[in-house]
Amino acid sequence: MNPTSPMVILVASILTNNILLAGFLGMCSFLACSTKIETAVGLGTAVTFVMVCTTTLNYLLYHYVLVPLELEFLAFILFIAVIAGFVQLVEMVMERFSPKLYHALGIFLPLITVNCAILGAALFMVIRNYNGIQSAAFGLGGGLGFLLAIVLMAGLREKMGYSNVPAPLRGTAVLMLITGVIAMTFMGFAGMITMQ
Amino acid sequence: MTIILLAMAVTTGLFLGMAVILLVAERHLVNYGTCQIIVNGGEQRFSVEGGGNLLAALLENNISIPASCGGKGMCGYCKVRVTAGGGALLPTETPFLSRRDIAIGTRLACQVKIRQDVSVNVPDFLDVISDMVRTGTFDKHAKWRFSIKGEEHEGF
Repeated sequence: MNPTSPMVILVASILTNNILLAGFLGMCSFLACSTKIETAVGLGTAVTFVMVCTTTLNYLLYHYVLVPLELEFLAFILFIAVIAGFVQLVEMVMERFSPKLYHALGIFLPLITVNCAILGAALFMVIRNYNGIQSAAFGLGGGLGFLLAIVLMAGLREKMGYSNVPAPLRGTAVLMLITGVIAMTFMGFAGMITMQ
Repeated sequence: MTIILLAMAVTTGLFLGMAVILLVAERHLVNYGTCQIIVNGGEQRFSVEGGGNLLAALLENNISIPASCGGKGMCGYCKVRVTAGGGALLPTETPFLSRRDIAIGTRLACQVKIRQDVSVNVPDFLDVISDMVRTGTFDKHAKWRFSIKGEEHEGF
């Protein structure tokens, strides 16, 4: 088992090992949904919630079903299936019992099914040999890291709406540049905490 | 050989389990009963099973609304005026609607979920064109102009 404490994993996955800015996973929804801070907060919160739950579920599935039966090679397919099924279920429950929450988060849930950051978190959890609590902490940290990155991006994009971007860079090009700059800034955190 | 069978059993078991959970959840959670769709103020009315979207319900009943994206909320072509029972405007629709559109109740049909009886105004020139296309009398080289008369048709 991995000896790192869950608290360290939580902080490290937000700052030093940010799943978006260090791993470059989940870029599609990061670029698509970062036009407004409000939307970004909604998507980020939904990702955090789903990531915590699915990482834990996938941990249980992997260590209590796949490992005893020596079926580790099925992890990819089954992780995706668990994520998709869980998202569907949450969407239905949310719509029924909390229409307000559904309007805030629910519309982002279908986008999350195919968010590679969520699958990435589940696979890192396996590679890094986390136990249950560490996995949950990693899921929470990964989600919060995503939230932080996408809100930063949305803030910059809202500001950028008023600035005169050079013609060849307009649109996605300048977004890529900004993402790179934010990622480099986050490199400043490297060495603060080491996580494996 | 056993590993293949075991893998198949685990995969099938998990998928079946999740399908059953989802079906049970759907039966108990997403059940809105039968809802009435009232088109153009009573010109046409039909009952559909609740829970689906308005675009699909209209297409099922031969009212064609253009939707090049297939109802994903991406193209913004399926604009209709929902006068009652549409629910709140979703953030997925706002990029396609002007302030005036929102004021008169324009919605994207693919984003309106049927939870209750819905009254909807659809632009009627679409009907004329779809008839022409069906009968083969539509001349795609001809230029078309639509004049908008009266208050009833604003926004279309």
